[in-house]
Amino acid sequence: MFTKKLIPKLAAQSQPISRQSLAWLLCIQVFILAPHFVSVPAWIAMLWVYVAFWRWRIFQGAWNYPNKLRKTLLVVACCLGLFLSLGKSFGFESMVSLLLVGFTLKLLELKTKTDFVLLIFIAFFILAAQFIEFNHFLAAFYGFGCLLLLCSTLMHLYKKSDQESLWQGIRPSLYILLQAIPFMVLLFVVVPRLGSFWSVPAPDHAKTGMSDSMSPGDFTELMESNELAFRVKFSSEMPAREKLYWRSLVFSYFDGRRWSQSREQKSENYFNQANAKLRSHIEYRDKRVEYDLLVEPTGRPWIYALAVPESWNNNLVFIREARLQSFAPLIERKSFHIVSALNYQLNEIGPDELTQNKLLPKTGNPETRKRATEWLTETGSTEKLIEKIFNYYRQSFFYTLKPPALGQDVVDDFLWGSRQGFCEHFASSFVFFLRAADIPARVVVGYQGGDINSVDGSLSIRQRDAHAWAEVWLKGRGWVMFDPTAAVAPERIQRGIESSLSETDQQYLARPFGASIKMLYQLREQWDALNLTWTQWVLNFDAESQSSLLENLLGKVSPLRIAVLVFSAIAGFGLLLFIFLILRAPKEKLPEISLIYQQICKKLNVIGFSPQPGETPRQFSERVSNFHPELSGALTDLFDLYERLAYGNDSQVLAQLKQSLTDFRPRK
Amino acid sequence: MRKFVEVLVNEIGRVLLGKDEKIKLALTCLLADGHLLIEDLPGMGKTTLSHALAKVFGLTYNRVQFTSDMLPADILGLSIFDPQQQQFTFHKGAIFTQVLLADEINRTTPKTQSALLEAMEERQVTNEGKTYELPQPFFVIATQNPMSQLGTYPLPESQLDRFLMRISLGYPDAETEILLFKGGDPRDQLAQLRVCLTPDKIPEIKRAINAVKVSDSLVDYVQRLVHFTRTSDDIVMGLSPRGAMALIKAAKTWTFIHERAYVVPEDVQYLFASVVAHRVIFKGATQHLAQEGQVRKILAAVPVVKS
Amino acid sequence: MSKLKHYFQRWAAKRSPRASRVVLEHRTIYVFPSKQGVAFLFTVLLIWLLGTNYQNNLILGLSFFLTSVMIVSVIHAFKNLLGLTFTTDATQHAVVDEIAPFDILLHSAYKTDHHGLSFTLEDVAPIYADLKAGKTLPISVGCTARRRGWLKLPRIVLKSYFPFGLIRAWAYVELDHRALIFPRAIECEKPPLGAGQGEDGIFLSTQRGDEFQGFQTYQPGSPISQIAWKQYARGAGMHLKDYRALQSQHYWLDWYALNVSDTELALSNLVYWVNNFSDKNIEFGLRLPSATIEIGSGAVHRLSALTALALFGWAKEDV
Repeated sequence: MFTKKLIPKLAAQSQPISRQSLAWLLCIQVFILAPHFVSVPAWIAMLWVYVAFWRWRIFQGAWNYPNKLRKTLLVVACCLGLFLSLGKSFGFESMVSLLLVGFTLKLLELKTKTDFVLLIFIAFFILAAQFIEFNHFLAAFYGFGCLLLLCSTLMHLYKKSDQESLWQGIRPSLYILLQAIPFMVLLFVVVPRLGSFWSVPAPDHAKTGMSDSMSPGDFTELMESNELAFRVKFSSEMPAREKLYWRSLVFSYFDGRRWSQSREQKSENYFNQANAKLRSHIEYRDKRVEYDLLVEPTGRPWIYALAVPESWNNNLVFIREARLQSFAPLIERKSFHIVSALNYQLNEIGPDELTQNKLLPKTGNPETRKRATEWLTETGSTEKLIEKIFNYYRQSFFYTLKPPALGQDVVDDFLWGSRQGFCEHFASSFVFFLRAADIPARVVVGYQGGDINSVDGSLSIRQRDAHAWAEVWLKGRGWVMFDPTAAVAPERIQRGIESSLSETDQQYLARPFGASIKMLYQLREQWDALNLTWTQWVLNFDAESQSSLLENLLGKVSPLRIAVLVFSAIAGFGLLLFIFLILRAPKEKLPEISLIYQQICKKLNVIGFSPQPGETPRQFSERVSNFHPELSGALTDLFDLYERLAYGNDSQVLAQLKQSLTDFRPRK
Repeated sequence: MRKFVEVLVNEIGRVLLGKDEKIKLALTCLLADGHLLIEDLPGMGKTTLSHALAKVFGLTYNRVQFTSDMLPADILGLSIFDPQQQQFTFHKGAIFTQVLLADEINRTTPKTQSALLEAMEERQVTNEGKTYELPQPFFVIATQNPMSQLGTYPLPESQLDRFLMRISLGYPDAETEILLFKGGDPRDQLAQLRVCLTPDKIPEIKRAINAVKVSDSLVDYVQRLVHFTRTSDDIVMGLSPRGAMALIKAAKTWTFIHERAYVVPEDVQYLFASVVAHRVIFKGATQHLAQEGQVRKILAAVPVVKS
Repeated sequence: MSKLKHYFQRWAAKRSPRASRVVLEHRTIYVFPSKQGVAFLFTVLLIWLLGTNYQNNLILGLSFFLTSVMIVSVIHAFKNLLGLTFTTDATQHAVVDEIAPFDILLHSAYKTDHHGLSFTLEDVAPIYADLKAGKTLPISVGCTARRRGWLKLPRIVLKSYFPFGLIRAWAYVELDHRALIFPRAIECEKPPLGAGQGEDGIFLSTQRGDEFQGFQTYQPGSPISQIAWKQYARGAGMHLKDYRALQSQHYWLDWYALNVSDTELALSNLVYWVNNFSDKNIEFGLRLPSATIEIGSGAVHRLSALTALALFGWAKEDV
């Protein structure tokens, strides 16, 4: 009875971690780490399993925390492992791996709540890092799920909760996260976007798509791929399919086998800002088309545009042979807004350009060279010569994805031998032929056509739509596009590659998943549309789209206006939340019977009476009646009803009581 | 059915003049299955009341005058060896009756007191491993003389709550006293009392008592009273849950006696002093009267309607 | 800094006056980022840097999301304390240098749960509690008793880090509540007995009592309840069981019998003897200059004796 012991004061933060909290943490680690195992060495996963098991055994009291020696050994072993599996270069993978190893090993130091919180904060960072590689909207959902789990785990620490179900554990966090979304959107829209502060190691994307050169057989690989190259959303009317030549690279140099950019093309000279002066050799005429381009990451800077681009976002550079390129290689999905003029005249930049585009290797393909001079003299003019070559193609060539192998003289073998091939063979031989006839010509690569998505009307261009064609300089008309493939297989251009191939050839072609089942196909289309919207609105929301959006909202963007917007919006959301969470929170109400009594007392207070603390309703009414005999009848009725309701549980008199209460109006 | 109360009160009132309210309290106590503690000076009519109660209900009656040399066996009974049959036989004590007047209970030793109180609580007597049920109904009226302190053993506080109520009869008023002087010997009058209710009616009455409504508002009021006794600085030991339940039970019976269907706060307030005063321990107030004053303070402090 | 803290606490004290029932309202709740909240903001900053460097909108979005979560949790931290109602419960007692318990009832004016509440009183380890909606939770906070008499409940600091530990919400609760502190018992050799009281005051009365003393031979007329029936059954003849009453043994503990040079020591000695007699069930009375406790025994008697000793020298208005 008289003995109580002093409890030593404990620091609140040094409390041990509960079983539930630990279980939550281990579970969340699995979710946080999983996406990273795509890129980091597999042994880190094994390490995690080992360490997690160890930590669980510590919790059970079976094992101990590692001592200093063991800890050091473990760290050294991990460093060695990282060094061996990733090499010396400090790239993106090494950065992530290091982080993950640290995150895993920290488990063995997890003793107090502070350690626990630190681990969760690291987990937030690792969660962020996963978006560098995965930025699909599914990744965003996954991220939201992880965030929810992390927040729930964190909340667990600050509750003295007993047993509760999973949903009970998650629900409060979910509500808070949902309430946070408006604030997040606001910050996302308003907080200024800055450029990179320093260069960072990027994830090593395998470069996909078009390469910077073209040799026989290169395109076969592309055509076997169904991967998305880019998507286009036209804001003006979409041109006919056969007009959709997505121009990407221009090859002027031929080494006898391979087409590539010449040294001059690659040189600094070509990279210039979009200056009107630099575009003096281009005459824009009419038929403007306006479109948004959403390019999948390629690891290359070049962009696909319809000839010839007239205006574009300022995150692109214009190159004088009338193509566009981004500042940096595309390592993530990006969108660009472009306006092109379909009718144009593209003149030569200077005489050098024409000379360059007539160059051929000194030797090789003698047959072609010979025929070229013969045919030129035969026809007399460039146009007629082209006509003749096209006729030749049309008469005796066969379009196939699996042409026979060609020998040393590629062009000769193709033109006068096998006569089987696809775009790259046609373009290559055509340009060679013209150059042999001393006519400036060059190979252009890019994509042709695309699939129209019936959901949002966007165009998807896949790798199998890769194409090569030619541009020939005609006097007075500048560079004019010619597509020899169109001569051989016009269906390829009009309806797409599938329709141009024979049955046997079609099996080489990559086909989109579910192309044969209508419903699946539609689903896929919707999926693509969703993806497109995601990319357009979220991934590509940059400083430029930000300022244009803010301009739409505010009229003129000034720091003051932005500040006002931010503060009023945060205050507004905050107020709304405050109202919903606090002012409208369900209050513990007095029982109705007490409320009614309060009303009665209020009315009697008018004539100067209020009940004493220990006074029963009846005693109160009698006291009032003694002073106001004229009220006595009404009071008796009222208090009888009240007594029946309050103590007789006679709920039927409620309405009657309320009525009497309204009628009861004592005056001084 | 309920008219019987009036009849009972009138009948007992014939021998105990001017004490109708106290008679009702005693009735309440009996019908609520509780026991009654009367704290009074001698000659106030304790014996008359208890005897009359037994009479009108047609119950068996025993009176035991407690003295300091009493042993538990004197009350409970004892086994006596019968040399003819060569075996022990149990001779039932005074407690084996329906109404027991335990007069001046504070004169006997704590051991004997406990024996009585235990039997009161359990309504049975155990002797030599055998259990003997007490008759039904079983009602104890114990009296204490508050004045004579020397050589007495006041009932321990912890055992006082075996009694549902503690009352004192007090002096009669002048008018009644004159009537009293004029009247004959109460003993003769006692003999003339009629049996107004047969014991077999009692279960029916108990059912009716159980049917009395106790609303949430009322329970809430009782709870607030109880909580107040536990938090008040003037009180050393507050009301136990058993005490709170006793209060409600008594209030229900009181309501029944007054022929109403539901308990109102006035009922609780009226019974509060009788039921509660001996169950809580007030700081400094050991006398009965002072305690009742304290109880009134509690009633005046606790609001009847929750606000 | 400490001056600032001092001003803040005086200001806060003005806003929450003492009462026997305290409801936490918006005026009496304070919120501020916790240490962990600052660390969290630092993490968010790192994530934002990562996002900016990689020009990755998802990472930037995550950093904004986390910031928003912190903003929203300010409201939730606030709400976690809002409407908490403290009501004083029974008055308790303790001995000097022990922890005095203060019983408090915790209730919510809202139909919501309140999580991770911690109650701190001066130097004693905090108490943690979760309050479920619609429930009343009895808690007992403790505070070291330094001297005898009434101990006022010091200010309770109520803290919560709910929901995510980023925001600290706290309030100062000034409850009008107290505990009675008895002097510490200090042993002394002899009880300070009043005049005329000797240690040899124990004798047996000749009256019948309830203490069994032995057998006497049967005399006709003796009550049958006194006959030793078991002995009779065994054929030992009729005997009477002889009971004697142990004359109630009682002492007066007398202040004036003490050599009072140190009041506190004297009180402590008296406490020792009060406890001693009570434990042995010996009746005793207590005579102090200010009060007299009549002869008695039992828990309540002990309590009133200890109370008188605890409040020795306390003015009436302090009580």
